[in-house]
Amino acid sequence: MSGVLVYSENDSHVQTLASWSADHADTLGPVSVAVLGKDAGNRAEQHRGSGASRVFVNEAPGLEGLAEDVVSSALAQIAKQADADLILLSATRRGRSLASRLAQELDSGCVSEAIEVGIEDGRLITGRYALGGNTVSREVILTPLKVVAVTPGTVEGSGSGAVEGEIISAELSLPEPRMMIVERNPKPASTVNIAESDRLVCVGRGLAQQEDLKLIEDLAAELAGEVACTRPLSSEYGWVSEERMIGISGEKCNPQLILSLGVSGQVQHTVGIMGAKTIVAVNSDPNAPIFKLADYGIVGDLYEVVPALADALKQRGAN
Amino acid sequence: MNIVVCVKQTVDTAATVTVSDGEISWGDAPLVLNPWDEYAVEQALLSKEAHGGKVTAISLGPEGAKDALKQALAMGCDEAILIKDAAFDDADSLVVSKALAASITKLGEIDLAFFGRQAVDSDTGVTFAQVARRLGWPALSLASKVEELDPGAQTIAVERMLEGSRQRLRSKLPVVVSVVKEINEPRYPSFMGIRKASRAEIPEWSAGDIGLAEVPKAALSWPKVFAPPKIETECEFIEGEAAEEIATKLADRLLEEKVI
Ligand SMILES: Cc1cc2nc3c(=O)[nH]c(=O)nc-3n(C[C@H](O)[C@H](O)[C@H](O)COP(=O)(O)OP(=O)(O)OC[C@H]3O[C@@H](n4cnc5c(N)ncnc54)[C@H](O)[C@@H]3O)c2cc1C
Ligand SMILES: Cc1cc2nc3c(=O)[nH]c(=O)nc-3n(C[C@H](O)[C@H](O)[C@H](O)COP(=O)(O)OP(=O)(O)OC[C@H]3O[C@@H](n4cnc5c(N)ncnc54)[C@H](O)[C@@H]3O)c2cc1C
Repeated sequence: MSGVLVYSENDSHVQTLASWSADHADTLGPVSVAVLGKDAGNRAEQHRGSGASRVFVNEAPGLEGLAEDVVSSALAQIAKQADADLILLSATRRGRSLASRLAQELDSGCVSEAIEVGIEDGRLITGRYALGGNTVSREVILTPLKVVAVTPGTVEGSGSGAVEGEIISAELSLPEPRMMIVERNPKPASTVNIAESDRLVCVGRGLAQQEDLKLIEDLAAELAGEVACTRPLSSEYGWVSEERMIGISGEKCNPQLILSLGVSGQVQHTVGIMGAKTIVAVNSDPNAPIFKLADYGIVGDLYEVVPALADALKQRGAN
Repeated sequence: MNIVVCVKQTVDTAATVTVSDGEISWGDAPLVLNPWDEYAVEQALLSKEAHGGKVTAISLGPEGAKDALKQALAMGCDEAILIKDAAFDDADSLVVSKALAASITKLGEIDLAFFGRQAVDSDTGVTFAQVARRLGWPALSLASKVEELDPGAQTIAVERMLEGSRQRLRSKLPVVVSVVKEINEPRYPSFMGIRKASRAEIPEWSAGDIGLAEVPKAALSWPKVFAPPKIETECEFIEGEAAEEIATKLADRLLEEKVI
């Protein structure tokens, strides 16, 4: 392949994708990174050593809110300048809709939310969950240009492909943005990104009422972790904000530790915790499917186990 | 307002899906209107009820997809169109989006096109953005609230939730909007609606009818589908007399493992 272009609004995802690409430069070709929008010039510096041989920068005011239509146009032009035939994005919510738009712009095949990215016989192979996590489908993109949005946490780079990337100011002719984005100052409570969190305390319908969330929050605080939840708690009951929901329609997480409390373990939920290192499950039903993937299981009432665990952790001064 | 809603027919999420030898099977579970698309239909109907106009449901699929369209009609859509052509048999989202965009263009003078966030069979969630790009319209994705819709000024504003932030997107019409479940509570079809829908004749448009003389080839294939890899774990059950004892044992194990 002729080259890779990496882009995400999330700088740490860019570094991982660039570093992974550099490890596979033999097959994929040289690595370029695009840094767009506010402060792009400064942000570009951190990507010089991440494996990219070129870092394309553009700070045009039209890119300020990173509206997908303008970013998509910018990336199509940069891909051409960089002679990249593979565009790797991070499958954040924004990244997913950007990937599809860009693929249409380039008339290329598009894989959104890849959970596997690999190279077989010099070809890029991707895998994604389909049918609500019940299946994995493996895709081959047939067009010369390829757009893939990679689920955060899917790949890792060795960092050994680091080079002193050249910073290039990209000449772009950008369309007038047709949509305006106003970032809302979110409440501090709803600025979490559980996908990036190392310790999660995930609660399911085993929780009887919203007031009892306090127990879960106390345990999370003891662990210096974040509260997460299954779909019913956010979408049906509205007890927990939607960005804390794990699963096929929520976040895919790769924590060191996840405590899964009163969660049955349906596949639509568990696809989101496949990347976890250690899974602890507390459930009153010994046959709950969650125990099939847990490393540690406690058959019991979360209302007894959770406060006891918070105490035990406090005594040990964990976190 | 002239409103389109795009709907797909999919497997019922309540169905038990199994894969063996690369063949997906869901037994004799019925196919349904893609659950996420019910929210799109509802939002299209709410927009019409607030501002007047007409809602047309479009689906690309086989004859059977008319059932999904009938459900949209039963909920209250005014018209439905099935895009059906053997040329679309192996279509991927790139091809489907070209066909949907061509159909929207053929309908003419559309202000708003609603989509669900993703189809529950492929779970890709890419089609709406591709249709938007094809039409040259903005795509307001993952809308959890329509905050403003002004047909006079031809403007719309929606709210969307991203990881760790909330955004307000504002745009001129026409636009594509994809919706998430928080946006509304889809209505049940009324008895009258169901009767009307059951009698409705749904027109079919072929590739030629929508001006796609030559249907492009799919840009991607999915040659392998298999059951997700199982994590092989042996669950170590922690037992004890009282919660305190169990909690203490667990805390010690986690410390040993250095995950806390
Ligand atoms: C298209 C589609 C997409 C979906 N996407 C998602 C998704 O992204 N994320 C998601 O989470 N779900 C998703 N779901 C829903 C999913 O299928 C399950 O319904 C959901 O994950 C179940 O949540 P739960 O485990 O909290 O509840 P339940 O399945 O009701 O489980 C509750 C568990 O708590 C246990 N329990 C009860 N009381 C106690 C107690 N006192 N102490 C300890 N344990 C107790 C019970 O034994 C039970 O196992 C999706 C479904 C569909 C159809
Ligand atoms: C297991 C499996 C894996 C697949 N993998 C891919 C893949 O990786 N890439 C790819 O391009 N295609 C893939 N496909 C093909 C894809 O399902 C079809 O091309 C499909 O019609 C495109 O929509 P989608 O399912 O991707 O819809 P999504 O993009 O998930 O759907 C978003 C919204 O678009 C609208 N919509 C989608 N399809 C239609 C339709 N036919 N008619 C009217 N409105 C519609 C609905 O409003 C829907 O809510 C896969 C199919 C299967 C069964």
